[in-house]
Amino acid sequence: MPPKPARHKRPRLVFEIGTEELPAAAAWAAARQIREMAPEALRAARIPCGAVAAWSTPRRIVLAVEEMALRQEDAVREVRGPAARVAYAADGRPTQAAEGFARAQGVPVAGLERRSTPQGEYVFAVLRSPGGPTIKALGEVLPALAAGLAFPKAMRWGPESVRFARPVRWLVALLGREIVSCRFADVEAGRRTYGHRVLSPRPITVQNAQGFEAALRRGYVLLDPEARRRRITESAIRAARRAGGHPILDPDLLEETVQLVEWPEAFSGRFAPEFLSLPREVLITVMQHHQKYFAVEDAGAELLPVFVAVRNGGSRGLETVREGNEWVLRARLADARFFFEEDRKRPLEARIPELAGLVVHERLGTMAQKTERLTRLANLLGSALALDVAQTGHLERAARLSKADLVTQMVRELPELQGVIGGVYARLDGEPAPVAGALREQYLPRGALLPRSDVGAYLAILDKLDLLLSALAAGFAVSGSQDPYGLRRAAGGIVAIVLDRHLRINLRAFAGAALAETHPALDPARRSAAIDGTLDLLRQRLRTTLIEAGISYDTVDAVLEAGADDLADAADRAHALWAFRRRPEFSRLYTAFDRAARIVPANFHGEVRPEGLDHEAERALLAALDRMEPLGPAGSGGGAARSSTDRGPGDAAGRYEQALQRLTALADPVDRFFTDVMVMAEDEAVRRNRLALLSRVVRLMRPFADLTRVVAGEGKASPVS
Amino acid sequence: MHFQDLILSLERYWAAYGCVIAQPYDGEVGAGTMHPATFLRALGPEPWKVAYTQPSRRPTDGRYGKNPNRLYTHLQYQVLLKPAPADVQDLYLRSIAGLGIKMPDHDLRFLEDDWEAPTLGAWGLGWQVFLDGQEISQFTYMQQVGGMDVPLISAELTYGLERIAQSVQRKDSVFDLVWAPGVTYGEIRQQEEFEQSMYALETADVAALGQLFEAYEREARRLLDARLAFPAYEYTLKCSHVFNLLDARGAVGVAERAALMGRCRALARRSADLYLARREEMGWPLLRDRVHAA
Repeated sequence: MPPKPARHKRPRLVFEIGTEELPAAAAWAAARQIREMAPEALRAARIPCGAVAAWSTPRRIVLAVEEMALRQEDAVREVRGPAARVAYAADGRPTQAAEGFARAQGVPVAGLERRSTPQGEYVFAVLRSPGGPTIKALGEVLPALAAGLAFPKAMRWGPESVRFARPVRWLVALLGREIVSCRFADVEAGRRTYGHRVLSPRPITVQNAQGFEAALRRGYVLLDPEARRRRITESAIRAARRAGGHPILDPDLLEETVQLVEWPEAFSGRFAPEFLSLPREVLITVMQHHQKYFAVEDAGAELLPVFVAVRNGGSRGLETVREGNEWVLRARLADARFFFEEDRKRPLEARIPELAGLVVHERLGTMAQKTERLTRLANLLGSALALDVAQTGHLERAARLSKADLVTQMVRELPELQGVIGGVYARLDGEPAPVAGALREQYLPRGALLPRSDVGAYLAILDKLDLLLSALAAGFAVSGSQDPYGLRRAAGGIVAIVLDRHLRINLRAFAGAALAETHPALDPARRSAAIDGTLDLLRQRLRTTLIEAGISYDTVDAVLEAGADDLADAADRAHALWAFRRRPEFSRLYTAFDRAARIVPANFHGEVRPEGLDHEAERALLAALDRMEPLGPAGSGGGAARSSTDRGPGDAAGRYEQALQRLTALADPVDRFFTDVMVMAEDEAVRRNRLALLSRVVRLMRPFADLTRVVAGEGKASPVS
Repeated sequence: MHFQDLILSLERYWAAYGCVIAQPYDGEVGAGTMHPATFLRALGPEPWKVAYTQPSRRPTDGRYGKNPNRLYTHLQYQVLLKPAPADVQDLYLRSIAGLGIKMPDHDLRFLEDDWEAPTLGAWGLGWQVFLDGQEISQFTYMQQVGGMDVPLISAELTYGLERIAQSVQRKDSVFDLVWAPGVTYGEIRQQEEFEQSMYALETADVAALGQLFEAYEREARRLLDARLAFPAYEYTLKCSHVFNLLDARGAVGVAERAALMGRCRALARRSADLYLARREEMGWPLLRDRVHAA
């Protein structure tokens, strides 16, 4: 039964969860979640409605739904009863079975309906329960929505066991002019909201859901984050322009600021120009990171002695606020300048000996030892990647200086500058630009930010690889979700950099050489445990990365089974197999290799004796095999994908895909072989020869992927398992 | 408003609200939270309201009395309200207004802050409170203490007295604050800052401190076995302070820190467990009104 058209305009629903100041990320997440959950929750409650919107400020999460039906739709539920031939006698009269079923469902026998189903004809009871008033149903829907919000960090605050990002202090739930009676977190919903904490301290009574935003606006709250972002951006640009520049609107800081204010007003302040002698990175870190100010540049992208801050409130007392903020920044910059000047009294190099006093961990030694290891690894990597003398030299120098900034005052005070300030100091010390750049990039990746320079990427990889090898050699283990020493993170960093640069290197071989260099006295069991552990972590991370890229898990597993010591190559194989899988030829290739792989015993050894092949199908298969090139990765004797003109993942994966295409030429001969020849022949010599032939088929594919891992019929990406 | 008047104003305000005005802890602590009046009393089901000034030592922040904003010892004003009242933010704001800070003329923010005291096995969620860009307080709903979920959530308010005073008196240097008529903060504390910084950053004997840590830890364990909760916790605090000194001397690295803090945390947990067990044996004395009413 379609809902009747409403005679009056359907009312609007507003549900506000009033809180103490929410963390910015929690507020964003809550608005997004409630917007996503509400349509489904209303559908489940059979309440037709119009558009759904949700917003957040630091002190509220608001859901608004337009054009709410005043009543729920009727619920219609069909229950299948006995088969029609059981329910009705030959004369069409209902049997006892039908009567019993009708009675159990509470409907008259005459009301049963006959329906045909794939299993035959059955009787159905159609149960209708009339919908109730929306306002009553919402009393359950709204608290459930609030309770369904998930936060990365939630807290308790009162006697109730409810958890939320911060305490819930009021609820507004209005359907048009009516209050939706409900409770959540020990708070009763009503029509009372609160405006800006300082500018509008008294409660505000909302008469009608329709006027909710306007009521908040009168209370100095801009509900829509878009409106706040606009106002912040415009007023920040205006304030900076009046000060002679334009603001660096760091996107992260802007997003955060939008969610820290309800009634934004940007203003500019100044600091003494002499502070401009500080490195730009330091000034920006102090302003952005510590004070949440936007730095201001002139037309030539030079920093001005100006900042733009965003106040939560209007223009009253703005002079006091500006003066206060200038005063705070002055103190911060004076601190930073003091650290900078102290640090600059000695070059970075002179600090290296102090690293002997900085213990990484009692079982991992000191930063001085780490520096020594990194320096050795730099040379080793230089040879492994055949870097030129200059680049190896830069890498070695960068490794030697890499940790020196950890004993500077600047890093002690502003730890987020580690690496970055090392880069600045190295530049000022007159170190070569690639060295300074590498110091800056050694802790990447951070988020999506990856090293851009070659030397930076190499140093970043070595830093992480050394952590993995040293920690695992010292007997640290990664278990469950625990990662106290950041080993998984380190593995993730290596995978990201290697794939980003399509860096071809056998990491198992390199890890072995590295340990021999840095831990020469390590006993062999520990050594292989450290290497296996490192490669395991890398492989796990690679697996996740590839699955997240949309490749099905079984494709990834098939490829990794064939080896993942060369991460970039394994990724190429996975992409190639994934692309090839969706071609029609795949199933023939798959069948051929899968049949062969399943029949050849795992421990089978034996070469084909051509003179022993007397069957036409055998000789045809051998001829086809002789025409094939192997398609394995590095170390397997060279293959189609190992070209020296390898320019990147696209190239290599493409060539692998072409090679797979060529392999399909084997599908027919294999197929014929299985049809015409009995592999498990009575005569052992014949049998061995046939298995040897098939084992060549298997060996051809083995370095590329273990196709027996592919789940036949699956060609869709799956979520990470 | 003189520095001491800030303290007096807060004492009067929170006494009028109904807090017990306690005295500072008479040993070295890094924060007002470590005072037994907060750390131990925040545990268990007994209600509790307390306020006190606490000198807090941060050896790594020692700057020889030369940095205008960094101190080896600073003063915190600490309030613990258990359970947290629903209007606790307003209570806090009124206490700030009582210091002569008129809200509409300022920019006041509650900025997310996940507070954690790893050596105490304690954490909570709340805010840093910023006044015109200056952090003046920390505000925390304590969730775990001594590694245990607390059954009754406390609100902990920690006022940074020097920061607030600098803001009120508009002094660029903490040492220029007027403590009492005619006496500055620097006149009272600068020599101490210099000497304590000298000690913590240069003079402290690392080997001796290492031995002290071991000895204090042994004593704490012995006292735990003897079921003496307050003394055991006292030696836990001594371990924590020695750890801070070692840290200030640059004698511990990133991961070794984790190990030493883990040892402090283990003692804090056991002290908390023992305190709770003892309170339970005593029948939760501060619940007595409720018991009688029931």
